[in-house]
Amino acid sequence: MSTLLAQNPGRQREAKASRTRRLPIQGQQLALVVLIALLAAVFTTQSPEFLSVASIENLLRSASMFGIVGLGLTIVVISTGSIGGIDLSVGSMMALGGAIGAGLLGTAFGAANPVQLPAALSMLIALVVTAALGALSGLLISLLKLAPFAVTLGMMSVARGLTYLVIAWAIGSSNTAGVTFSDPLFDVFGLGMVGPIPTITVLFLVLAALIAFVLKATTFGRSLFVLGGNAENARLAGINVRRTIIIVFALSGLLAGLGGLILTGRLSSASPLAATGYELEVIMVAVIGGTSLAGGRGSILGTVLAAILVSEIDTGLDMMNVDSFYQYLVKGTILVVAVVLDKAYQARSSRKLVQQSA
Amino acid sequence: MSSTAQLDRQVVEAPKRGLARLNIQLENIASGIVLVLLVIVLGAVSPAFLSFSNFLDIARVVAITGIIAVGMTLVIITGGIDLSVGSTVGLVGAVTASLVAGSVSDNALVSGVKLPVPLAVLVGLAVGALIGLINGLIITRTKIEPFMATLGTMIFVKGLLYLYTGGYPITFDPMPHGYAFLGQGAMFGVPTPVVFFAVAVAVLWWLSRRMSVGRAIYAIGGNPEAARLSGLKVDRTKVFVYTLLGLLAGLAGIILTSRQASADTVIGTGFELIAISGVVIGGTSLTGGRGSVIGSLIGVFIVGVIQNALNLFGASTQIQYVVTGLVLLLAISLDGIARRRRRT
Amino acid sequence: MVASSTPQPLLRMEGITKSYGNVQVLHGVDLEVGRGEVLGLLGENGAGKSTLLNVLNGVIGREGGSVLIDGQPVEFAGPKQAQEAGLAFIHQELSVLPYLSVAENIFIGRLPRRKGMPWLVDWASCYRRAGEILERLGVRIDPRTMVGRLGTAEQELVEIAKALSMNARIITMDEPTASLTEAEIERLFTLMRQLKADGVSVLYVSHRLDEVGEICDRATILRDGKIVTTVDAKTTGSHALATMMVGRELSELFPKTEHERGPETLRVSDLSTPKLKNVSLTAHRGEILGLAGLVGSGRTELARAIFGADPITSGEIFVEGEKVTIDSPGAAIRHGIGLVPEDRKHQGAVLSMSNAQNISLACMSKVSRLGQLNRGAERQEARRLIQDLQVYPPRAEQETGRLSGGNQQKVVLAKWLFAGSKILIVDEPTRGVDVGARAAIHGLINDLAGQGATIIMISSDLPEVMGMSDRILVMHEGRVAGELARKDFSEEAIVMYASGLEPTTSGPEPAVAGLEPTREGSNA
Repeated sequence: MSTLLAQNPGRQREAKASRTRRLPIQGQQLALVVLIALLAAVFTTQSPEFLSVASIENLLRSASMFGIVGLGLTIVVISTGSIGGIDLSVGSMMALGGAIGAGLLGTAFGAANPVQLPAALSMLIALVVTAALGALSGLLISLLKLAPFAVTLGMMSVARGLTYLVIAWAIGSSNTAGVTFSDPLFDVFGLGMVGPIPTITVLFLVLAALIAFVLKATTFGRSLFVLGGNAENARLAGINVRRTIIIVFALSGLLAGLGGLILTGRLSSASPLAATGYELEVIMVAVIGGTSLAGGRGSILGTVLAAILVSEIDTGLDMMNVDSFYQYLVKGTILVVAVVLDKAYQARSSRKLVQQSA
Repeated sequence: MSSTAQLDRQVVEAPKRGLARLNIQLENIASGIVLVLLVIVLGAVSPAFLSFSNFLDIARVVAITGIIAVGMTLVIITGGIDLSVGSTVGLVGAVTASLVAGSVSDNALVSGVKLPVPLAVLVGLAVGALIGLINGLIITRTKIEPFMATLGTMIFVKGLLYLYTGGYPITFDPMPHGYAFLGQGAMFGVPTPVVFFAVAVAVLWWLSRRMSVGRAIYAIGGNPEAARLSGLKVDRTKVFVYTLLGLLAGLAGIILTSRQASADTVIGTGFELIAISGVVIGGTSLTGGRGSVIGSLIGVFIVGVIQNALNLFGASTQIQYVVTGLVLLLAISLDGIARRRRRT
Repeated sequence: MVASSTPQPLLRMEGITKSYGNVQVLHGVDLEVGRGEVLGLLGENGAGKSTLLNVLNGVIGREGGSVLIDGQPVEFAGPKQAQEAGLAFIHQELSVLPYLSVAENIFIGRLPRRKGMPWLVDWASCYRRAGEILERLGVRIDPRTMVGRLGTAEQELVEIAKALSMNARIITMDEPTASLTEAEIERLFTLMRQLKADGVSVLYVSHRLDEVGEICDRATILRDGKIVTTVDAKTTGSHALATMMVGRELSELFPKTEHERGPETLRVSDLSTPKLKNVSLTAHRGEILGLAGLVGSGRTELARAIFGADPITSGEIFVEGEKVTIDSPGAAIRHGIGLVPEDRKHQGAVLSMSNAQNISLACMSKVSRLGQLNRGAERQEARRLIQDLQVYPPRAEQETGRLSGGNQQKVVLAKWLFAGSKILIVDEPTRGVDVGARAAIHGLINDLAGQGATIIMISSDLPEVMGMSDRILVMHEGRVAGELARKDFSEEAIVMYASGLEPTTSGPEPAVAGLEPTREGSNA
């Protein structure tokens, strides 16, 4: 409204500022890049081999694994944050994906199961199962309007239990030892390189680019932001809320399953205890990357950078032989800072809205 | 108020009667019915299940997570959640164990100070309460969602546990009798952990149902703003329930280390899930304002009975994860269906 | 009845019925909107306006009756179908998404797609078309701006742009001027006239009756879920409209009981908060002090500040002559102050608890010793109050959430009676309350004053505040703009004070019931 803008030069300035600030990287992402660089400098001075090829490769593999799972969680939080959307089952889903992928090979050392599937097929089955379980979470959340954190907490123990069962079945005994095996396709995850870059990093970046494109450029992607902003709006805009929630949780399950296959490939073994507590790392990746837990706002670039940052901290502190206590402390602090920043941002926006409506 | 008698009588609304009332009651006793049915069915299938010693066995297994669950009940009724209890169990267990005479560890950091058992237990409980206090303060001061805040303290406390123990287990050589009594002893034939559990249930039930602080807990979960505008001290009450839960988680940690005769970095892991499952199965709504301590007592027993039955029937321990998860999903689904019905 | 402006009305609703549970909200409503017509839809709170609009726009289903557009019956499975049929609904609560761009908000759910690749958004076309629509509205906003950065009025324009982008032929506007300034309202009306000229029809809901005369062609009046009449909006005066809405002469509605005005019980001097500027007032024993003013004028903020619910920056409060420090609701309650908040569901009652528990909530110490509740005494006290206040159903153990709105409000009032409040602040006590309960609540407030309580009553309903009060303070932009003794009560004077003007003897047509009850910025 021209008259309004004329009356309110401050707001006009603000609107202009938003236009000029549209840099390829802004705010939180820029801070992440700076933080990654700073930490790299600190770690290098403390332990020069931080910049060695082996160390960087390790960092990238770790970042790719957490990052791929983090992409799924980012989508979940963007699209269902307004209803408290979160997926706590991703760690167990990783373990389950790895267990199925390895368990169906039949080539595991000491394997007792009669099924011997080609690696590609067993991986496919693993992904189908984790995606289906994710979809089940989404179904319960959307159909019965349940708290996502509670549903995925339940799914977390279901998936963990299934992991135990699959591995017990695969090795023919029920101890907590894992399946150890060797398979060329899985080795691609653990060892594969495309030029100087680990194959899974390429996979991660391709997936990130694909998802960023879907979020930005497709009608489905945009509907996720609408849903995350306000579920009632989404319904009024004709978005099929139930189907969308099911899809995003299925996607989260699928990507967690993929992350689990990568983990299994890196370790050449699938253990029933694998990926325990990884849901925290993954949530951290999403939140630090600038995805608002309140929904409707998030960034794939942020998730990518945060995955690198979190893995950098892991790798760097490991190299410096820092006590795991400090690792926990550092990560815990970063998580809290990220959440507080998000909270402050939300408070600022809502205060602004209240002022406007008054 | 005599003159109000002349006011028009309300005829516009005819609220649901009979059946609607029955629904509420069904909701409240549903978990009890499930437990009774479970016991009947299992007793019919396997007579061993119905033995007194088996019941004691179940109670002993349930007691430790049950103590956490009743504390968690109050936190959930206020509309909160605490995911850090598992870590608290571990840290308090380690701290207390290390302070007791006769405990040994390969880590230099672990306390060289040895205290009499009651004093060591007090220190442990204080550590647990302190963690709960910190949770409560973070949640009320920063307004971070409880689930995120306690996720943070969960990591942090786990880190403290690693720092304190250096990753080495703490064992006893030998364990003092006083300490052994806490986890392995019995009073009048009832295992001590079960006695602790019973006392915790009784105290928390009384507190939640018979005291004004309990009423405040329900009001805050049901409608925080209405509670505040009724003059209730919302923040102080929240801090209180988190502190109480921290204390109870600490107690659980002490009992557990006594029972296992060791403390390490993994004990307590996942306890938050079992406790939350028990609470939700017991009919406490995760949205706050509804639920009961007795419900949670039943809830943790349902989980315990199922696990016990699976053991009796020789099911692998692994399947118990699946069953626990499925029972949790079923419980929250029932809660969701009940909420739906209330809305219409 | 005035005939529709065109032989074949664009929209026709016939015999619409709808009920919630056992309460019938719409009893066979008929309504017609002509092409290019602005039809005002008027009615008190609870008359069924929102329900009717929701039925029309496919938000909720109807039980009986039919909707015809261009003479063709239509059925909407949901809001999307209604949109496709050319209906647009601009809600009172703006539903824009703050983190998305203006263009995307305009095309929400219908983003332009690339040719040949329908799953891809055509952003170039999206921004271009959004720009065109904004241009048509004469609005200078960059379509790429994040909506969260815009002001409320601009956000409302985004909603109108959204309606136009859907080629809407019938736009429903629910209280669009509630949070707009005079200049912004003028701009909106210019826009509406332009829409009219383009053949777009508008169904316009407002409580500002002067606006109805200015912008509407005809006005349909809804009362208790039935159409009362449809009149020519230009020639029918505001007072006549108001009388039709209420259905009775205003003077009959509030049989005022005169009370002896006692000594001063509450004095507030120079109270300031971020929203209040040096507010001073006094209230007396047995007095009902009305607080009138526009939305956002600071009435609710004043109530909350006195009650200790929001922090104050400066000022003093005296209760019965003694200076008191009120820094929390608890402190206010100890000094005998009670607050019945405007938003009953979110602030008043704990719906998951029983009536008895709600009633004792603000003063549990009365029925407890050393923190132990005496539940027998609690129930007994609650039963007595439930009986006195005629809460229905009269059960202490009934869950409050299962009562009707009016009975929930009685429970909240009972809470303060239980707490023995001597100074009771009631904020919009009858909003969303059915007619019978409304009379009961008014009677109760009168009784309380008669028994010596001090009542401060906030109301946006002018007839209510004028009918009930002994004295009225009118607020404007966080200040007390004027004070009226009962003999000086007039709608005009209140409206003038509320608009920041001095009352004059000859002014424009007064807006009856014109202080629209909408959100009050109470969460500030």
